[in-house]
Amino acid sequence: MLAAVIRFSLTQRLFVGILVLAVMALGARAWLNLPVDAFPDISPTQVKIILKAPGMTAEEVEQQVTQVIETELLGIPDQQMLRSTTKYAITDITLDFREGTDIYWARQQVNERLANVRDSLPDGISGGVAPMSTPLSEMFMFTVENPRLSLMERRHLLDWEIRPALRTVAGVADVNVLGGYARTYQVSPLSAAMAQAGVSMAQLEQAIRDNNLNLGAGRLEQGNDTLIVRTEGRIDNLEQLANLVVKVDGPHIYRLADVAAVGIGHLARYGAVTRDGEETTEALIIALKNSNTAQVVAGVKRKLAELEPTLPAGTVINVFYDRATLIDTAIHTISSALFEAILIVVVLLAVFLGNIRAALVVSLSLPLAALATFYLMSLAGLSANLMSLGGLVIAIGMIVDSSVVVVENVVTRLEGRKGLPRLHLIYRACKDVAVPVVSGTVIVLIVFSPLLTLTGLEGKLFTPVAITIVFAMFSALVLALTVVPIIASLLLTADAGRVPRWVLRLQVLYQGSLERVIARPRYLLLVFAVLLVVSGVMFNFTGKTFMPVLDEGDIIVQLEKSPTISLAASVALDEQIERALLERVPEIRQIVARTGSDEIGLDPMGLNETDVFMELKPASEWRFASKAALIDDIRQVLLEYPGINFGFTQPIQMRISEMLTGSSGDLSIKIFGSDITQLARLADEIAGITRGIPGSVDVQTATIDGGRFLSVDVRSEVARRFGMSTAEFAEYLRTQLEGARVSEIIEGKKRTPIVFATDPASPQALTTVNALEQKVMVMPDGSQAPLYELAQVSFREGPFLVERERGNRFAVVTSNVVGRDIVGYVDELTLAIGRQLTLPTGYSVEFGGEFENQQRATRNLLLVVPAALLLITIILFTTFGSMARAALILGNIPFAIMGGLIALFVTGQYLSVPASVGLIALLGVAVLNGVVMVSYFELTRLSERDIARRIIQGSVRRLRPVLMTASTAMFGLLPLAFATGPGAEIQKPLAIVVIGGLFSSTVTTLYLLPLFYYYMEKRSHG
Amino acid sequence: MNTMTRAAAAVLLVLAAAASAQSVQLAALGALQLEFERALPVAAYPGQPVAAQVTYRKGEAFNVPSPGRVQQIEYLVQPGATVVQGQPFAVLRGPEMHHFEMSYRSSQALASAAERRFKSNKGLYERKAISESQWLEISEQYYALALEYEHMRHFFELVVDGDDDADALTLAAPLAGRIDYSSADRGVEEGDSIALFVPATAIRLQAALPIALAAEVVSLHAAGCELAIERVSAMTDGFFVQAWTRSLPPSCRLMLGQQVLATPMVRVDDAYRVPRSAVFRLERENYVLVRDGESLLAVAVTPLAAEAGDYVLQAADVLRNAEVLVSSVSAVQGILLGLGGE
Repeated sequence: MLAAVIRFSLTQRLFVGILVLAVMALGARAWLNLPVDAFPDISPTQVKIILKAPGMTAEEVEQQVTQVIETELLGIPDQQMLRSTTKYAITDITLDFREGTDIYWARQQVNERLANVRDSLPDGISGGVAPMSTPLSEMFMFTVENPRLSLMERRHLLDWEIRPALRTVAGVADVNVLGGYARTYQVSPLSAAMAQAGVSMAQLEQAIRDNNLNLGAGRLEQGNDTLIVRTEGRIDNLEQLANLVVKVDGPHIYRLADVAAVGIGHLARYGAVTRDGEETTEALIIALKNSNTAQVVAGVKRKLAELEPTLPAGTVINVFYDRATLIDTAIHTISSALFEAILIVVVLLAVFLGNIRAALVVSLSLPLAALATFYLMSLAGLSANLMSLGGLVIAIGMIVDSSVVVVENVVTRLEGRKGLPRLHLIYRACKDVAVPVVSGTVIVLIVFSPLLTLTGLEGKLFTPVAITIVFAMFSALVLALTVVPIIASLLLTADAGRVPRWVLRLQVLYQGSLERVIARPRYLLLVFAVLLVVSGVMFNFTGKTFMPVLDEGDIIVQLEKSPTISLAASVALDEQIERALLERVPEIRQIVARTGSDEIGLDPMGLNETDVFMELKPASEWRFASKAALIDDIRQVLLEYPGINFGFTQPIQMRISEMLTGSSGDLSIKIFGSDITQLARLADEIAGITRGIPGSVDVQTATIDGGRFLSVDVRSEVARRFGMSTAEFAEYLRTQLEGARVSEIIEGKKRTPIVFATDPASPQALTTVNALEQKVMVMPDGSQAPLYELAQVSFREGPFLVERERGNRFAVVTSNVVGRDIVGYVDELTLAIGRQLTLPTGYSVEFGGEFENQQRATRNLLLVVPAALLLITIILFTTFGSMARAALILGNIPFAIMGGLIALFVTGQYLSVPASVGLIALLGVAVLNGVVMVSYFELTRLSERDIARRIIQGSVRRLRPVLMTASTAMFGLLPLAFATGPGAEIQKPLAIVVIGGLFSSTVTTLYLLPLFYYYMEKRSHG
Repeated sequence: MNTMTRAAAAVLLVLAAAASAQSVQLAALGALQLEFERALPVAAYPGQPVAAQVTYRKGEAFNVPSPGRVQQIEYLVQPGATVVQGQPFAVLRGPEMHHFEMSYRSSQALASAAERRFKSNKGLYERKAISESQWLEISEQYYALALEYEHMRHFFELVVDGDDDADALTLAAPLAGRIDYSSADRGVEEGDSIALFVPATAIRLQAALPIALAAEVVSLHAAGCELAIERVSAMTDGFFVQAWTRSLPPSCRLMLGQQVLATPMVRVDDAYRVPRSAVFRLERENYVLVRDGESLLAVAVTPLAAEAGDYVLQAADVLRNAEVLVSSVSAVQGILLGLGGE
């Protein structure tokens, strides 16, 4: 069949040429249209429920909302993890489904279950299933700046002009608006005036609800016409609201303004945004899951450009986070590596082949294979990202292998058989090597195919790598057997097979050294044995981590302040820190800090929590050589602000950590148990132990207990005398403290809520416990009573925060680990906890975070690697029909791994998932070199009887192809190994491992393999 | 000192500060912005606003009763207006005005006749010429007629103009003060009030104060007026007691009958005014941080009320003129809670 393919290609060159052009066109089109992102979609099928329960404490929300919903959700099939975070007035429940679960089915299931329990939830609960986004969907952020507009006006602009417009952009799931003041029509009931007018709160509310309506009355038939009749009462503006008639008592008409202060107010604030030390407003674009990030960002930018001229004069959209920048930088890094790799490989081919035409034939397969790979990627729905393009870079060195083998054989044939027709010679040359080329490619494909079985984050990251390599290798194979023969027939001449002089000299040197090795092998064996042992030792000293940290460019500092802090105090501290950072760290271009919760509730932080986002100037303007040094400088500034916990992270890193573990940090230590106080105590103790372990930084414990709440216990026997129930009492208080939405005023497309609330600056505002107790309340019957007569006010303690996993409460301690491997760190920490802490009955400790991922990745790789080895063994056995020869080739693998490990250690890289993938890749390359060598020994078995001569001549004959395949692969990876800038960090360990392994395996292929083959042959021949 | 050493020193300072119970060294506060303000002593704090009415106590107003049913009254001044003594305030109209005149004259004549009879019979009675019962009857008749006449006379003393043709009587104010004729809205029968005249000194605020607070309220603030409490009722009205202030000063532009929200000023000892940003909560207490040399001491306080941007709070320790930290307080609170660092 392979011969038929080659024959067809050579006889139908025009047809195949047109096919190639078509593939090139499709590939180019695919390249231009491929979804572009920094990362592949690494989020699991995840559904979030966010519910707001105004005024309820964390424990109440947990008991009355979270538990109820969790119990219902636990029955949904295919779920992997159910976790929740409950805080004051909000609960955030996250459900992770098994890989491959359809997101729409999952959301449907969750919606159905939620609907089942809706009626059993307390009144006033709002929210539901969150937008269909992933934690990495926050891909564009900007603030709205205009010194002439107040914060309320800017917020109004965002809410009603910018947000609706941006939501029309394809791929935008939602626009999260933060900061500023959400405008309301505020009605502040005046208790005394209400009592004098005999108006109760219920009457006041009813009056607004009942009158703020437009209703249809039906149709009036007039002659031949029909007129639609409507009753119109809807309030259009503040004046109409103030003049709303609340009560008519004889000649006395009481209007809303008579019994309440009516004005413009704002919703209770749960968060704020500051920019460079000043409050501002922010919008955060959330992309739909599976959307094309680059396109969404482009669409958002286009829409903003359209909007900007329509905004009030002086309004500036200040973009401080644009995922496209990261994508561009990362893709540029990897694309540069790709083009550099292609260039290096082409030069190497020219040098080795010593003939430009031959080099050109092989080189042409590179862009063609790349374009074909892009086409296959588009068919498979892969996006162009760090990982998939990284896979292509890794494959570049191997792509040419098939073509090299084909071209080398073609030029050899052309040189030797000048009498026969060229096409026939080329056909025979290609046919001769077709089987080894296919089997070699199949070996590489098999080596990478087990990567497809990886699960979790490592699976999501490295599956695109494996798929891209498979696509590239497959494309290269097809090209080698179809296009390369055609181009060879057009370009190659008879003198193309001439071996360059420097290669001939190298062959002479190699022959001499190989003869010496075969004659006196012990020194070389000793060296390799020592190196093997050394690499084993180095492995133990090599740090282990899950994934190298991608430098996203920007820095986020997470601040945690006193848990009871008010928003104003929290913002004041943020502003101080921002000003200090801007003054003392000139590398910072701007700072945007977010305190408290966002509007949608996707990230319900407390008022004491702040994410300080720092946009940095280009590295060329820094005083420091590295980002680590810059971070240390920032750290020094932050250390001068005591009483505030802080930690460093990056936008995507933070969200990935939160997505995978529910908390950020390299390591999260979860303490499970039932009692919050006990959990808090244990968390504090474990945090103390953790801080004592070398390598710990950013050790933090979320404050979960110590919440003190003012408990107002209604004296029902008194309140009921005036017709007031506990619910009415609570509602009344809510209007005084939090505010309660009554209705809304619709002005065009703007909807402004009418809210019962008290102006914080008014004398009626309740700002002390004493004032609360003295509050004179208007009872449903219109009479008055001071609150202290109706209720007992006292302090109660409860949790600030309740975190749960699979229905169990837990407390979490997070830590980042620097300067050492995370596995060793966890081992030491586990011992220390066991030694210093006795857990009460019913309490347990689990380690999560990045460590959890690493453990899972290790488990997966321990299954995957033996499987790959088994498959290779089967292929080798099938190829050579001898277990001994298969074992001989497999024997090259430890030396390849040895080189990889030494390279890792020497370069100071950690053993991570990409490094492990590099080691897996080495299996294939090492085996391929062995196959090239051994297959030639076997081929010349009959032509040369002397074993030593056969092996030496064979080795010398195969020196060039072995060096070519090894060096193209090695040098092809050099740009990746030396790449800097965002995006380079992840593929770098892989490149280093492969380069190191290729170096050592090439040496062993050239010396140890012939030596061992010699011994094996000698033994078999007696 | 290298950066690591500086960081370690800062952490040690913070830890040392935290270890010292509710006291923090100023040196441990790093670059935190520290602003201080003096705590000012106050004698009273504003309570929650209550409903109050501009009114007068019963008996403090001068009543002008009608000698008979009045068909029509034209008031010449607005209700609640301030009038001077002798100022015409109402014109009574109707045919009965003649009757008033006739009644006045007849009562005058009858009173004169009765007086003569009384005087002439007095001697007879003293000489026992008439019986006890006859004398009693004469006396009763005399005093009744005299009283009736006096009533009429007083009424007609207020009449500044009588127009027989128009059947009208014009009445003048008996004294200076605010006029109240709200009761005349439903018509005026014999004996009903034509108008009440409230002297300026009788106009005051009346408010219902929560019982628990009433004894401590020293004044009411309303519409820019500060009015000292003059009298508090000893009888309760539900959860409230009625309290009256002193009379409204001329500068106080409140109208009689006006319903207002009044803020009671509650007497308090050991109270101080500090900015709101000074107060924080730790464990079960509220505190302010007071500068004590090179350290800050946490002093327990009880916030009573807010006033503009300040709190009025009570403190067991003397805060008079103490310098209180008003910025970065939450960071110090964090230090006391053991927060800080990476």
